[in-house]
Amino acid sequence: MFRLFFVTDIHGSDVCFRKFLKAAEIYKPNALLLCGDLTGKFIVPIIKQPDGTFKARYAGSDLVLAKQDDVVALQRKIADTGSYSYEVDSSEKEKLTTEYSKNMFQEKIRERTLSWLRLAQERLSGKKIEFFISPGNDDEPPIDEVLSNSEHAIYCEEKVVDVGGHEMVTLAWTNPTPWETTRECSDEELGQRVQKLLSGVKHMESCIFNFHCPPYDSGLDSAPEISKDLKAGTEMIPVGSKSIRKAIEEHQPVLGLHGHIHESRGALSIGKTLCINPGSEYGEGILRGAVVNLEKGKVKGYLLTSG
Amino acid sequence: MAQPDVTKDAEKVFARKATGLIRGLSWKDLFVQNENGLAPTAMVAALYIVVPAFFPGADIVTAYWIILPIALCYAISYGILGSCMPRSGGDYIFGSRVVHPVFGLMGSFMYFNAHFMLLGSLPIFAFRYLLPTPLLVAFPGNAAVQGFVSWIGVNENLAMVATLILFSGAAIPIIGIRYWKIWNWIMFTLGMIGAVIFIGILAFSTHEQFVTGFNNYAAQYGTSYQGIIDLAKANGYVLTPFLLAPTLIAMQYTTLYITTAWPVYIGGEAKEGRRSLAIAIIGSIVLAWVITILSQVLFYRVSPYDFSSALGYLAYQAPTKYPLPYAPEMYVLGNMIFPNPLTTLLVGFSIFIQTVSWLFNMNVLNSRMIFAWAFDRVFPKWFAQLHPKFHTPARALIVVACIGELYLLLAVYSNILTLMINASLLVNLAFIPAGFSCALLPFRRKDIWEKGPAWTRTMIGPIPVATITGLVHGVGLSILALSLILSPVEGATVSGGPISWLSITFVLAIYSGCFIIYYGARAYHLRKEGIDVAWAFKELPPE
Repeated sequence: MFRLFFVTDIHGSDVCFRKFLKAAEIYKPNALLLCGDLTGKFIVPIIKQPDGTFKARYAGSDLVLAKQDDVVALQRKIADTGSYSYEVDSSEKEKLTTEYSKNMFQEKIRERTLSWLRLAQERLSGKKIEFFISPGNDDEPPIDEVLSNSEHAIYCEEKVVDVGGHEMVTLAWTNPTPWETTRECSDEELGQRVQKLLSGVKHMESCIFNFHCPPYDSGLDSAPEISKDLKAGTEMIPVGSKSIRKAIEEHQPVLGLHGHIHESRGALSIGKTLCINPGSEYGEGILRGAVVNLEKGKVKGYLLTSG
Repeated sequence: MAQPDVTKDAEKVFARKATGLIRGLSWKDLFVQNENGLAPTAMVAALYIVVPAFFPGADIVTAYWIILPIALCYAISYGILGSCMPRSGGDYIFGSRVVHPVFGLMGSFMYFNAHFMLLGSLPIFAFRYLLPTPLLVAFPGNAAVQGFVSWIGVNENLAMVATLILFSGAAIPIIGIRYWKIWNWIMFTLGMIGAVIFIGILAFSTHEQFVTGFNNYAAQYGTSYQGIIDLAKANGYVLTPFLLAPTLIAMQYTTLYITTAWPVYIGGEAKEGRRSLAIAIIGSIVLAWVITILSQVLFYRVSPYDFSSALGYLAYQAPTKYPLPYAPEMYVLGNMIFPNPLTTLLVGFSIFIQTVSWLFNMNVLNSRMIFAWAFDRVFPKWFAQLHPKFHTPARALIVVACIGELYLLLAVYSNILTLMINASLLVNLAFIPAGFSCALLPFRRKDIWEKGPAWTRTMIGPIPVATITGLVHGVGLSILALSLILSPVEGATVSGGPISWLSITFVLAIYSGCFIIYYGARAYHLRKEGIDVAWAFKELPPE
């Protein structure tokens, strides 16, 4: 029996990543999969004031921090909820501009991802656990270089890799979202990317489709309808990919691992394929995941976890 | 390409465009849902005259004041638990994450079973009594009304109507939570109209007006205001001055009506659940308490305690001697002061509608409980599958409606439910584990507690407020449950059934079922799938 532990959409949450590594001890998987939307969404400047205090706006509150210890605690909290922070003096106006923050964002993303990869190597070395990693639609391209350069983690984006005797194909791209994220394209183009990727698969029936985008109208892709001004309604609509659904229906792989829609945590079968979206609550520091047992080319059992 | 979205104010957070996480039900929707659960109009109707009849010397107003701290702690406990764990499943989620899966099931499975008992028995009460009586009072002698009353009196007709309601209560939430939400708002509006009218009638009436109205009405039946008191005394009624002991015992029954936290069972569908669940639960309980206390105080001002308890004594303790055609319901007495068919109907109908709203909500709550169990694989995963088109737990809803139908048929064609189940006890016991889960939350699951909103982490000295409110909630309800078992009142209809060896056995069977379900499921999945379901509840320490 081969056991994998799949996690997605942790969006930079430091505590979730550390929990992910801890899961190796608890669930005892043969492979760890951290695939899709690894990086955070916010960066918080912590501004040193002339009187020695620090000011920051975080989680809707204006904070005034008296001591350096408070700053460290806030930085920890910011990191755990998936955001980034940097210290700046109030006199350094140039460090509070759009351009600076944009560069700082990339630097911080790179810095945290590298620290994660180092930590993984440290914690997993000597253990017979494979560690697969790939980006998602929210992750900007520079992250690929960081991930692919890792000595320990197996970068699997747009590749066919072996996972416990199963071929696994991975794709970060999604169909269009209201947020116009970095790796999204039309559903037709997504279908072409999927087909290109699948052309390298030899045994489709035992294959794992690790597609960040969930299949359309599967219940793993229900999200509130969003207006053009990005306001959410109460009507839940399917937002997954029709191309991915079609690929699953046609090829019937053994397992579909998906993410992208945080609130659509669940598992369901499309024909012979078990499709899973473990969901995400990274902002709360909760690690959502899925333990899947594979045996003789089939899914023997699975469990959605929350820790 | 995702770009940083930089604000003008440098002290604000820079945000990058990325996918978001948003949910559906607002705090107002949840507030309305819980107010329907608390059913303040039905609460007033059930208690103001019944309690003095069964508990001589008990003062329901005092009982409500005494229950207030427990009710508030209950509301805050569920608010804290919901804010820290805003997901669907309620007591099961809280107990299983904080203490143990079996502990979570003990509350959840108890409530689940209590709902079935109510799904079976409430339609009978609603269609045989709550709907016909105001119609008869508002339209005396009306042939159509009398025809309906006769028609619904036939078991098959009652079963048909109740089945329709039961399955509508499943079908609407299957189609979508949006329609279920609209339905809740309609029921809330109709329910509140009755409460407002009743309070209005009482507020603008005097004792003298009530006596005159009562005398005018009672004269048709050869009695009067003073005649009722005399008749009650002649049949064994003794006016008992206020006594604390029966008042405390009467609190057992008030608990059933003031402790409801329905939003936590659908917490996963709440918009901004960390904020909205607490606002909805605490706000609705406070409103229900205010409506109840206000209407009780106003009622006893118009119809003093000695008369009310004498009337109640005749109606419920000596029914063969009761001279009036209808039980002393609030719309009956309201009609005596302000004899208007429309207001009488609206007040009476509001009690009916709030009772029907329970039927619609209990299907949803039970389906979410099954869904949560199935999600953790404690129940078959089949129940956790969503409808492919509507994306709602249709299977769970249909199964719940089918079990409800079974209970309904049992209730219509036999008296087994009334013999073996006490609703007050089941509901009391169902809510106890959540109190202790809240008390233990800061110690056993500090990680979850610390991620909650700031107010949930408030301390009083070295003790977290969660622990204090959780203990008051848990211990308070435990004492009430114990007092219910030790001092049951024969024939007290507000208790929802007798306390007997049969009802206690039923409770013990439910508790035993929790152990069997969890350990049975765990052994099955471990052997068959190599999966330990205990992982679903395991905290992952970051270090």
